[in-house]
Amino acid sequence: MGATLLEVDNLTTSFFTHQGEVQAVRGVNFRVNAGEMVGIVGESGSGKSVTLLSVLQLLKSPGKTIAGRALFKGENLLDKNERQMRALRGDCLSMIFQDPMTSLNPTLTIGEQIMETLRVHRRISRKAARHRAVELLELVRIPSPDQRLNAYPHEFSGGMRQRVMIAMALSCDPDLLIADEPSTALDVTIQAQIILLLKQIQRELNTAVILITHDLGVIAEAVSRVIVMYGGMIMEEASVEDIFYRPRHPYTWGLLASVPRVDVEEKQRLSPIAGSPPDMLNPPAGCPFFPRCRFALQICRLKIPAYFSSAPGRRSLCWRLHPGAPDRNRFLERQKNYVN
Amino acid sequence: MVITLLLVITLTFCMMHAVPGGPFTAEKALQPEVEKALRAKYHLDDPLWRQYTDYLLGILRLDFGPSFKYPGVTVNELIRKGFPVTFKAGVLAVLLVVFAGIPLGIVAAVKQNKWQDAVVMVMATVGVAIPSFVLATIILYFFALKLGWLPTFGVTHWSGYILPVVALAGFWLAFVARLTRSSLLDVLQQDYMVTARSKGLYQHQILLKHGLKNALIPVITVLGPVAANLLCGSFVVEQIFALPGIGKYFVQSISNRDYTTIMGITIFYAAFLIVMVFIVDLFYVFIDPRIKFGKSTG
Repeated sequence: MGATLLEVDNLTTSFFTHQGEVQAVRGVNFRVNAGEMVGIVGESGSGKSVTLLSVLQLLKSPGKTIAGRALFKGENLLDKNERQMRALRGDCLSMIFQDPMTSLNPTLTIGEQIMETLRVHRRISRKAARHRAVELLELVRIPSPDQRLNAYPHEFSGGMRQRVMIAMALSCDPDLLIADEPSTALDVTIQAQIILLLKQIQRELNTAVILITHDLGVIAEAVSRVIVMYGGMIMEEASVEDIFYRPRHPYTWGLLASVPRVDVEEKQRLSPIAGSPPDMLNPPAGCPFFPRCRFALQICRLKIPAYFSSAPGRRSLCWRLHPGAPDRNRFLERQKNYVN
Repeated sequence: MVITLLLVITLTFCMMHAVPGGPFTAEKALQPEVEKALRAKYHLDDPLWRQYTDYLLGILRLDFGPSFKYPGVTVNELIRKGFPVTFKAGVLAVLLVVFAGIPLGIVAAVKQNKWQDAVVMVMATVGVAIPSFVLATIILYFFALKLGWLPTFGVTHWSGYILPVVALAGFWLAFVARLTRSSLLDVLQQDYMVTARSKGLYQHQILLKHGLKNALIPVITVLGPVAANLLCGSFVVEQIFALPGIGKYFVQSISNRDYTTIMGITIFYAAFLIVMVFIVDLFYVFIDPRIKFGKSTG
């Protein structure tokens, strides 16, 4: 593993709407190393996308980052102005989005859309940009790339468009690629291909990748570390093995139980997590998950839990893991129910 | 296109003849012999189907026939005389609509909810609400009468075109500014605009290349009919500024039952409109790659 590439520290972002302040991200800390692939998992509205849009300063009004730092190669991105951020976006930091059907401009050829990024950041000739665009389409495995450069987005299938998005994002050899639900809008078979492609790119180009998803199953084979978010906070962070085999947070258990499994012999009903995500306009005073948590204690309602760590690089936000919590051992035993 | 035109000709012809009165109905009745002679001269006593086919044959030769009201003048001559003035004013009005309406709409969209937006929107709302004859009278009063900057009538000097062009363009300028604004605001919300920002493009690239190109599609749609409308002139504006244009003849011809002039100018207008709409369709292909000739694409 390389050095720390991105370090997010106490990031806090809210949307100031007519109804009031929607606290989308509430003091998030994490780091990403160079060349690493990290997954950020959570339900819709957990704040995972907003966290990374905040890092890139791509939030739409009325969203505003009100506290925290995002150190990229030691420099705080949140201190940079729009001009400085523009120079970084698409060059050192790039992003791909959920819906490839709407994320490409329908009136420009895909060649133009790839080449314009190159020409803005690298100031190269059209010919050189075109040459590089062909290379990029080859890299993302689009057949006959030379002809396809002149095609428009509507002439591509969803999976192919997402490959084009990836090619665009990779055009300037970024250090960090943020993929916001890159496979959610695609067919299941295509999903796997896209994730595999991202994995290959991370290995071959040594690009760090942050993979945002709501589907734990999608990322199991690709990432090395998983960050689980809920209610604008990180609930649990651990290596991918620990998340799948030794999860310690009730929310992670819930996520695992709601993913279909093929390695279990007997028929099992998928169990959804009862209840719905918290209203971030008036988030609960305590743990955001406590209203849906079967293991909630009195304190969970009153006070946001602290992180408890059982090993380096692993932490869980849960009062049940406090050394003095009642029935702590019996609680930890339960994790076995969620992994087979 | 030919079918549309034929339909217009037929409808106009039928409606015209359905209206009571005729070209030689006047307060002071003509002597029966004179009227009879006139009717015979212009073949008005022929059965209608005969008049209709004769007329169609004339059109095929691009001959709209003689005017009933201006003796010795053909409709072709009326159009040839009036149209250049109307056309010149119309072209200027179209240019004003395009080069003022679209930029104003862009400014309003980019500065949404700021004072620039408020100014443009107030102007645009007023512009859409005020009829052209009121606007024409107001600007005539202020700029020509009170301030004396511009002539009150006539087109002997280029400055004579300024006020009529503004009066002509006013409504459509406001309309296009509003349309551009709402269309661009819609486009700015699209996912691909976030993509454009995430690529680190310059603000002007994002706005013009990614935003405006998509936002102009609905604007171009209305510009075709707008151009046809403006180029065919406005009776009211031509009357107020005493422009010797085609619009004047058209309206007079209706109250005069000047059959050939009504027909001629209507057909001219319809043909013009059809051509403009066709040109707009051609433009689409350039601006929106999803539209192609012939085969449909998925």
